This record gives sequence, C-alpha cells and structure tokens, in this order.
Amino acid sequence: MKTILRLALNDLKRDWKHPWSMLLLASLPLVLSTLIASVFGGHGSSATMPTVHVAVWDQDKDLLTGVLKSLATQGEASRHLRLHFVDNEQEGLRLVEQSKVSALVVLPKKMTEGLLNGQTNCVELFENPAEQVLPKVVRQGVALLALGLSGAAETLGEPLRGMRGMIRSNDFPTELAVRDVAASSVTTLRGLRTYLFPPLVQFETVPAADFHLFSTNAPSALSPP
Amino acid sequence: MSDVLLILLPGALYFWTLFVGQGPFQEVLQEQESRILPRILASPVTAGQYVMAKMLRCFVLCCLASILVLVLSAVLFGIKWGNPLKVALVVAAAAGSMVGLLGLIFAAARTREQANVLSPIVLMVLAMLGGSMFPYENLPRFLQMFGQVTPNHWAALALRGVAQSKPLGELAGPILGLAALGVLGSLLAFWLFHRRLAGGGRP
Repeated sequence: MKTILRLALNDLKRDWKHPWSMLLLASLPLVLSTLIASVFGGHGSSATMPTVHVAVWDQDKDLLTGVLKSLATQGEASRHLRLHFVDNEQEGLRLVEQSKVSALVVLPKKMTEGLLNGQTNCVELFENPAEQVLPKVVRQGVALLALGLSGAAETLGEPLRGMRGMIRSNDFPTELAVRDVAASSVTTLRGLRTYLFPPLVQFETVPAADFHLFSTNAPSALSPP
Repeated sequence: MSDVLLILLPGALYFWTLFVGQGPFQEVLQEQESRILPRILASPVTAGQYVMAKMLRCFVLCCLASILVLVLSAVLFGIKWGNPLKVALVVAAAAGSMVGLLGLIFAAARTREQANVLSPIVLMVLAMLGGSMFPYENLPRFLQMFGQVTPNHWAALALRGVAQSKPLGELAGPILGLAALGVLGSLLAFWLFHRRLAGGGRP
C-alpha cells in the first residue's frame, strides 16, 4: 500500500508542477456551459425578450379589429409587440423589405361581419425572410388569433352582434338593448364557466432546474374537471 | 443563469473530467512503448502496484477537477450544489466510475494510437447519449433508452438531485450505478493491465 501511495504521490507532484493542461481541461465544462447558457436564455428575465414589430393593414376597421388594436397596447403585449398600421399592402411590404417589421398581417374587408355571420375569412401573412425566429412567432400568434376569433365569434356571436349594432348605430342605445346584450353575454359565459373560471389550462413559471417534461403534463392537468 | 447552468453543467463536467483522468492511463501505454516500464518494474515495484498507483492518481485527479468546477461555479455563478457531504459522495462515485471506464478503454487498447482513437469515440458517444452535450430530455425516446444507462446521465442525475435537495434514497440508483461501474470496471481493467504487464512491461 505504501508503495502505491508513494508512486501516486510522485506522479501527483509531477502534475502539480505542470498543472496548466489539466486546469484548462477542467475549466472547459464551466466555460462551455456558461457560453451555452448565455446564448440559450441564460438571462432569465423577460426584460431581454425582443419586441416584435408587425405591420398591419386593417381593411376591416370594425369591432373585432378595434379590440385587437387595443389588446396590443395593454399589459405584457404593449412591451413585446409593436403594431405599425399601414394604409395599403405596398407600404406594409416596404416595411418588411426594410426589415423594420418581422411580418405584415392583412386583415380582410368585412372580417368582423363575416365572422359574426359564420363565414370563412382569410388573414394574409407576409413573413420577413431576412429574420429567423420572430416571423415564426408572428405566424404562431396569427394562428392563435384566428383560432381565438373563430371561437369568440362562435360562442359569443349573439352578444357581439348586439354590441356591434349599438356601436355602429348613430342613436344612443336604449336601456333595454344594453340589458339584452349584457344578459346574453352573462348567459353565454355561464355556460363556459366550467372551462374559464378557473381556466382549464393555466400557465405556471417554474425554475428551469425544477422543470420535468412529463410531470408538468400530467394527465390530471389535461383532463376536464 | 444558474438555473440553466444547473441543467448543463453536471453532464459537461463528467464529460470533460474524463479527459483530465486519461493522463495516468495514457502514461501506462506511453511508458510501455518507450520501454520505461520494464525498468520501473525491475525495481521493487510490482505490476499490480504500478497499475493501482495509476488508478489512484486518476481517481484523485478526477475528484480534484470536479471539485474545482463545482467550487468555481458556486463562487462565480452562485450555484447552490446542496449538502457538501452528499456532493462529496457523488463526486467520489463519479470519479470512481471514470477510473473504471477509462481503465477499461486503455486496457482494451493494444497501442497508444489505438487508445487515442478509441477513447474519444467512446467518450463522445456516451456524452451525446447521456446528456453531456444536449439536454437528455430533448433526445428522441429511442436514444433516451440507451442514454439512461450511461454514466454521464447517472452523474448528471445525481449532481442535479443533490442540488435539488432530493433525499439520498432517490439518488441511490444513479450513485449505485456509478459505483458499480467504478468497482467492476476498475477490477476488470486492473486484471487486463496486470495480465499485459505480467511479462515485465515489454511492448
């Protein structure tokens, strides 16, 4: 045993005299992990999230597109989404070409009316080919928007139609009309209570180290209550 | 930053520390090829003692390199690695497994060139499957099947588990896996080296 220890100690003394190659190798995991961590979301705060610039050509100019405009100026969206309203397609495409926006979204004429009447609408999207990630974010957002609008029009169609009529009317709405719209909205929302209050799907922020892919998608979280 | 590092660092630490631990085993082959080994073994040192000394040195170097990275990451990035005793246990088990793994690779190689080719291949494959290069959870399911039996994965699981203050019972699987590889690999490598050097260490 003594001989083994002496041999090992002699070699270790030799390593101690020339430690640089080993120190370099030992420091590599730290250096590389730090580099990777700093590239892929190592900052850990939403303040570093980029702002997505989107050109919008709103040909509808009706109730739903008005709601969309106001949504983009509220809460988190106001910090990470900047809408540039344009008057025609050429102007929007010019912004895309100049890389001032990540995409151009064209909302069709009579979109709100079509949605409320159950007609299919087509939202056009022009992605900026010079960018990699942000146009895909916009594409996902538009897909989500289409789904949300379609769902909203289907479930809240009647109260929305009433609200639209009141807004477009030149006369001041009657108490009865306001009450009807409110009652209709409450009745519809009551039917959705199981899914919305509390929401069926909820988001939770967890530290990356505690994230377990499959436990967060546990069947109990996905099944209806 | 420390959250992301806690995911990346354990696997990377295991992978790169293996390169630190290669030195002693490379020396065995180098000293054999340069005919220094027969002279060493002509002195009152047996082949077994010589190999054991190299293995011990490999173990110490791997432990020191791992501790250095853990301490530096704690100081520079504020990573909390958890209970020091548990960390020491995991580091010892991981270093033991490195001795076993590297010993097997270098004992199986006939020449230094063979070892220099074989070693990176084995280490890279284990690193890719075990989550030292990409997060293990991002691997396809069929690769995860192979990855879950790699020492890289066990070491990462154990270190991350200690950092997350998991009870020792939950970490027993990966720690025992590392220890088993260390013991069995070292015994087999010792036997292979001993058999090779039995003739006086001549190439």
